[in-house]
Amino acid sequence: MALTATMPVLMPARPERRADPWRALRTRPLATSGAAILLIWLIVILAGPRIATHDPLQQSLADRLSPPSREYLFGTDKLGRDLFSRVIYAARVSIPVGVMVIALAAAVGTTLGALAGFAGGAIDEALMRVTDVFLAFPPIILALAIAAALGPDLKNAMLALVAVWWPSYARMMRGVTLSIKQQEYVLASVAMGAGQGRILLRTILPNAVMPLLVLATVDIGGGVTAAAALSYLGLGVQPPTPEWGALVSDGAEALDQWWLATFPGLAILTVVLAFNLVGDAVQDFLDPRLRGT
Amino acid sequence: MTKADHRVGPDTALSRRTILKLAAAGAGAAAIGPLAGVRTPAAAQDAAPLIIGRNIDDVITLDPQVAGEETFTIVLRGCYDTLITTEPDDPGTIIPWLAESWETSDDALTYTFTLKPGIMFASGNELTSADFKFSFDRLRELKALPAYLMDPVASVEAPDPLTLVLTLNAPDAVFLTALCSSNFSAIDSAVAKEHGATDQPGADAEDTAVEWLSQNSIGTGPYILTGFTPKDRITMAANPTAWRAPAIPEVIIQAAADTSALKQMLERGDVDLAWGLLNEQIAELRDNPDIAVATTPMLGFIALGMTCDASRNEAVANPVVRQAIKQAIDYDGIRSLQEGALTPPSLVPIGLPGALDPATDGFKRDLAAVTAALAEAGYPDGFAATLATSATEIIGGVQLSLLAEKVRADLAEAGIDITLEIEDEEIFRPKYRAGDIDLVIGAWYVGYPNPFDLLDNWGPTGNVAINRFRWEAPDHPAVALLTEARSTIDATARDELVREAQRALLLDAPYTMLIQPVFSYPYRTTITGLVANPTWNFDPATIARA
Repeated sequence: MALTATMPVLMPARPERRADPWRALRTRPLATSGAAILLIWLIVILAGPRIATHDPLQQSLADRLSPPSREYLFGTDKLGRDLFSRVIYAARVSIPVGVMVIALAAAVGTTLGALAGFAGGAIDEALMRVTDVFLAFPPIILALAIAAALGPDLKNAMLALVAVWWPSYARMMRGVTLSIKQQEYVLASVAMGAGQGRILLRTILPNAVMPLLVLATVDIGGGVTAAAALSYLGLGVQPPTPEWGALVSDGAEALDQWWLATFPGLAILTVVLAFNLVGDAVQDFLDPRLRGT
Repeated sequence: MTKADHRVGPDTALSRRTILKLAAAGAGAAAIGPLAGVRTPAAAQDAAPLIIGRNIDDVITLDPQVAGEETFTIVLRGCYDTLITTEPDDPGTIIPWLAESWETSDDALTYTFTLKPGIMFASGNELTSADFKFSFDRLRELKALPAYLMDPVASVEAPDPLTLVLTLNAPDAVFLTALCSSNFSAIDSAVAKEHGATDQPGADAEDTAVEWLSQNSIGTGPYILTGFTPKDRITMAANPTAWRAPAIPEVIIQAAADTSALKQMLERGDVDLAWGLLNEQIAELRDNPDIAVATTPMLGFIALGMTCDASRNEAVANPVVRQAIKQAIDYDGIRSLQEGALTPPSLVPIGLPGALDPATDGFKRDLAAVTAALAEAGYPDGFAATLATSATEIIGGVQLSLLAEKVRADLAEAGIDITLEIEDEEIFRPKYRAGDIDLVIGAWYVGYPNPFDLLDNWGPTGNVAINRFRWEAPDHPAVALLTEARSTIDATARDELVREAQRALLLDAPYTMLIQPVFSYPYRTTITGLVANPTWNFDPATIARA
């Protein structure tokens, strides 16, 4: 098992690692607070309309640009819409978009990576050169270019982000597949006459889930930020649908109305921070060797 | 070209040119001597360039016979001159500019202009009436957006170097004011031809100078254009041969990343004046003791345009639906977005002769009437349409994209489901020009201070109405009224005809006016001489260091 010494994450998960995840969470206060924040946001997403104090699209020009008050908890924007309600409703767009982008990128990347690693040869070469091409560009610039070419729209923005995100999953999955392919128990099942599909699905994929999960949890925060960034630049969600990046963009034009950019900015901050804390904990839990790094 | 390179070039050149100019002027030059010329206050104190902060995304070309939109106005004002112009602070008064005097024939068909002698182009060539003839013919033959200005003109003749004769197709009460439009500027025909310009029929295909004229200028104005980097900056330096010298010899129009960056640049003193800030930002600047604001009412409007093309959107193309949309807009709310803003009922902005009175002729929001009209038109449950506008355009401090959100909300209350298409200039502008829109928010303000600039373009036979809104109404009653008005010399009778035409347009025209904002130019009090003007915004050459 010389391979595992240099590629720790590639080890097949051992049963004892599946120790109580809740206990693991409890012993990590930072991760616990991260999980708590995510739980709060989950409630906000599910119960948004009950929490919001106003219709997020209702304009009230007489109250435009009011500072935070009892009536408008986070103040109002340039058209007199309640910012608190807009931030709440925006969570229902921004967080699911970030999660979905990563989920889709992981699905696409994993499939292609496994295919490349398992098939090898020309297919491997072709797929890896394609990932090279994607990885050669700065991701956000490439996403901007794709989103701009497709036209400003939420679906296009997500497509653009998936397009720049999948190669890192494909790369990882290919590495995992290549190393597992050499493991004795895989060779054993080949010897026993298992079909290729069975080996891929039953032997290799389950062993790749853990590194995949680690990468994905750490990435989700980045997904939320990247989606917000595209919307900030006007390439994501189109108005009047509230979205955090677009809300910050509105506020950036009126710095004297500090509340416009501050509250949606804080929303992004808390969510990304929480995802990162939880992601770190998941990483530690699944791979103790990386703890503290 | 780096900033440092840029500053060295024109400055050294300028000193030399200043000397030449003083020597050429002759008046006591021998006594003063060339060295004294270098050390004049103009060269020492004003050495710092005038920096204008401005989003220049709208600039496609700076060729005077092609240019349109907004930013070009100050560049053309700086680099070129027209025959006549209006008083900077009184758009109603026409004054001589490159023409010394002019005469109108008794039948009001022939205008004879006498040019000022001794006017020089930057190349050293002397301006003659042939240059004007070349420029005017080129304006017509290039068939670009401003070519319509030449429509009333039958012929341009240059019988001698200082005489220019313009013959019209029909008597035209508007023509003299239209001649003040900067698209009627003179270009140096000799240099223009060297760079591929032509005034012959077919110029729209054969003229190859437009690109070159975006980087260089060949006019008689106080400045010469020294560079244009799209979306970044436009630079101008003093024209050594100009007949009116600028107070500050170098101008930089510098783009900022966005309006808040532009506002900060003004507050920090990185720019001397900021053009294109938001209304809310200008309000915040009013408390700053280092900053003053020059204002002038906009002679134009921001309008909601609607397509008449049923293949684009059947509902919007229905005249009854369009009338309903006009009554669904909350005009009072939109006006409240800016202090001092107005709502012109129709095409003629308030402040120009022939404007309608908003109190009696303006649309009022009436949702009950809208519901009834939509039901009558066969859309009792409303309908869907797209509303396009520019993501970055700000007219008179009003963000077009913000207006789009307001209009969307207003129409939503009437059961009309609007999808917004708020897009960058380079995507939105071609779409708008091609009429590839259901609903659109666009703006227009006069290129010369006369209602006909708006009536010609937006009226039933106008390029905007036909190409952008696909309105085909050559027999509309307004057409005859406007034709009659154009040839009516008596001002009172003409204004009444213009009003009558607009009343005929109110319900039928495929647009409704949303707001007539105020133009504001916040500037640092370290500069003086900024005169806000509703057609050319301001003249950079009159701005001096305080």
